[in-house]
Amino acid sequence: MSSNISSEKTNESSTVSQVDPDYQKEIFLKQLGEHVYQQNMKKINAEFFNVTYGSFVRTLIDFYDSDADKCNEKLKAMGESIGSRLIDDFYSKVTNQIPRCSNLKDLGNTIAYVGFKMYINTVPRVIFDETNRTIKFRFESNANIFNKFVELPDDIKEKKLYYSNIVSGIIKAALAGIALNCDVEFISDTLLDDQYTDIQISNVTRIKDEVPMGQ
Amino acid sequence: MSLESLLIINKSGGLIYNKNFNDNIEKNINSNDMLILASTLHSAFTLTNCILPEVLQKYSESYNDSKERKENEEELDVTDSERNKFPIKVKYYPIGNKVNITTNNMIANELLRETTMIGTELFYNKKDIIDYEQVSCIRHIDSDVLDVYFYQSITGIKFISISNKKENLGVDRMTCFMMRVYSLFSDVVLKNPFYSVEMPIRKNKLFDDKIQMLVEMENLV
Repeated sequence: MSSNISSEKTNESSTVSQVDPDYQKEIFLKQLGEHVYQQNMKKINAEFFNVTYGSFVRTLIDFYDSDADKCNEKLKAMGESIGSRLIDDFYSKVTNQIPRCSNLKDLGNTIAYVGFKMYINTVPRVIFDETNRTIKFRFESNANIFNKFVELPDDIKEKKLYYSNIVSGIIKAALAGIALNCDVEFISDTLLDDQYTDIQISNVTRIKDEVPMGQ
Repeated sequence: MSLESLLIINKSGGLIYNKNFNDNIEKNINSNDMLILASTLHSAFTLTNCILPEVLQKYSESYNDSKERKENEEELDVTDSERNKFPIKVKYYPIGNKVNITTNNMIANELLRETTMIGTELFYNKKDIIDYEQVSCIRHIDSDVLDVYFYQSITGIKFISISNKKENLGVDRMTCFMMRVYSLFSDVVLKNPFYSVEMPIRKNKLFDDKIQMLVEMENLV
């Protein structure tokens, strides 16, 4: 990804050059995420954010008479309209430090170490599946900040409402903004008594016609 | 007085924002002409993608070669990583002229605090910005009377600034300026929930004021 930056860095610090390039990329992305989060992001109180999002989901559930499928769809649609705006914000904040992703591993690492770090200050574990060509973001029990304070009632839990489904919409639309087509879905959630919260990205394809001229 | 006007063009070639910094322009050019100018510049930009030198072709994702046109969608490939390793270095110019900023000026202080492109610590070698995005097409048109500079963001929004010849601005400085405009655009305009994406920006006073202040701070007017 950022070959020339990382090579310059190793020259400056005169470390041993036999380091795995993938590992170097990861380190670079982690540092970049931390840096952007510290310098460029405006912060609000996390509890205020939790309460706002909670009341908003609660209103949605009331509106659809606790129909979990419709709520999931609506949350995803809202996320998509957020994501199509957020991709511009993302790239103007990281100021061209990272190019367009060229393989799946890069894509996963960039979203996890820079994207999630910048916007919700948690870094999920990235599980890259070579055979099925999928990426999973795994949040440990309490790492997903959307789920803090939340305990779903039994009837909604049975219907499988994914409480933070807005995230999947955001990722899908943000990737659509840089000409990548993909499916994003929640496959498990700690609120539904699963062990982890997993978000899965699959079927990533590049749409050549949507790449802007000149790139 | 070197910057004449600033245009923002969306993905499909429509003019979504323009601001003139010279009063004489508005007397002579009406908004319809501005629309035509914008789409002409957009199509010139698009056409130049077909005359990319052979050396650069493997780096470009959007290069239009009618002979080797494969199917439309391709899977994100692990092997073609070298395609993306073509960084262009741009010298970093900080926001100039801090003299005329008084402590009372809210907009100027906000700009200094919030504009992303201020922080040099984000760049690893402190002097250069690395621009990966634009491989082919136009960056600079040099004519006898006017200079036209282009900057395209990764999502395809084009920023065009037209300036006269009184001062030699250079591509690097204008790229930095337009990156700041991009950061303002994504901050002030796109985060407005009542703005619909890809539509013209109308009556956004905050954006107007910030652009004006940014241009004054950059010493371009």
